[in-house]
Amino acid sequence: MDTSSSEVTNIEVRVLFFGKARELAECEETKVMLPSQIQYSALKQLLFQKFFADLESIAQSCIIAVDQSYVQMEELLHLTPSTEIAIIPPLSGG
Amino acid sequence: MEPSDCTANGVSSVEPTPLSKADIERYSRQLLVPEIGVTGQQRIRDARVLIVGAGGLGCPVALYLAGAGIGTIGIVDYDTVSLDNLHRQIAHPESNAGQSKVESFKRTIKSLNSNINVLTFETTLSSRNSPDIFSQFDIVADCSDNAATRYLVNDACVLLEKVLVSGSGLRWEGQLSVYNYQNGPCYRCLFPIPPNAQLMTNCAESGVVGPIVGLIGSMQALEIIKIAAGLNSSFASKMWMLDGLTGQTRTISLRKRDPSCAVCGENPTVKELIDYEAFCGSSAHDKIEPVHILDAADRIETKDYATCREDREGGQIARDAVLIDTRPPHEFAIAHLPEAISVNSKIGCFYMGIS
Repeated sequence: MDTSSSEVTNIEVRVLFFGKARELAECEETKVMLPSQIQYSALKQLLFQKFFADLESIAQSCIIAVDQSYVQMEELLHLTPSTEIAIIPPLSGG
Repeated sequence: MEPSDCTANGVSSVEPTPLSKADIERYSRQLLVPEIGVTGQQRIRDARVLIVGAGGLGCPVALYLAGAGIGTIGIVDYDTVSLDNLHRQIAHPESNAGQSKVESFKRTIKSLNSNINVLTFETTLSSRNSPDIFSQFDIVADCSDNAATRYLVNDACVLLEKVLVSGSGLRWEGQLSVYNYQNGPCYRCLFPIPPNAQLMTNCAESGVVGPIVGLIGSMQALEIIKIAAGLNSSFASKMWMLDGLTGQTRTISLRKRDPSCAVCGENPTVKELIDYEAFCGSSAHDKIEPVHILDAADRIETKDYATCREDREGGQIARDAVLIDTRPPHEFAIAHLPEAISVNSKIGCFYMGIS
């Protein structure tokens, strides 16, 4: 993967799936290699189009949380080997 | 936690009347909790809480609010009590099967605490009836079971300035958050685009484990009691997530209110309630929706298949008939025809052309 800065390295992070995302991914969690610095939009594209294309159909309605914090639209994210990315669709049942 | 001055946060600003001797006796174990005390109990007694949905979440919410002495409890639900609901809807006795859920609820609440003023709304919540219903309450508990109602409840709470204590659950998972509270987000700030209706799963199709909605509903009741007593909720701008299968819980920090939100933003485009079934592309209930099926020429009705089975010779089904059951293995195991061959549902859906 191309990186624009020499400080950016590829690291392995955990990705957790919830609700419909868990059903589509057919697992609770996995690990992927991601750049240690990445824009939210680029992260979303990698997750839903490259790594977990089965989840593309729910991409628009999911929250992404990095280390248990909601990620804002234009945010630049700093990932570490202990980073946990959660893909959280809304649950409607009750 | 110190009681906060939050008259605009679901707490009445009117000077409360003293507690009666009976109330002091009845709620003594709650009065002894210093953060609640007499003032908190007076506020709880004077609070008006609306529960949207008398189902798996609504049951624990109603039971605990009735126990705590929330003065006025409203319930909206159009449905009747069904036996296949009772594994999780623990406020409805088996003897009430077939009866109105709101009436069943009212009887249960009254049997727990006869002092509670219970208002029932036996109707499907709609854009038309929401303003009249919501305006009678301070705090709203979203215990509904479908996306269209969740957006309706959210927008009504924003437009009518009500605190929204929202819970949801499915299978082993649950989510809890408090919306439209202390400059936190509303439901739309987080989920501006409704989920794809074709990919929605509900309790009727996917199932739910009773204590999941029991836990989430109990958390909703807890937050409602705190807010009603004038304390701060712990879940403003936060989402509590429960994964009952692995026993893990997480608290996700959410965003603040989104200035560009369609309903609570600075230039809202939603200024009155809209058609939420059209917005979500799905109905305001959790019953199983009709699916797209093959043309009549490409499929066989169950009646015709039954006739074909009866025509079999010597106990053998015609050699050219193969029955493929595309449901997931755990559903196949519940019941299936003896000759059926179970095929992975994803592949099955592909063959059926509905994937």
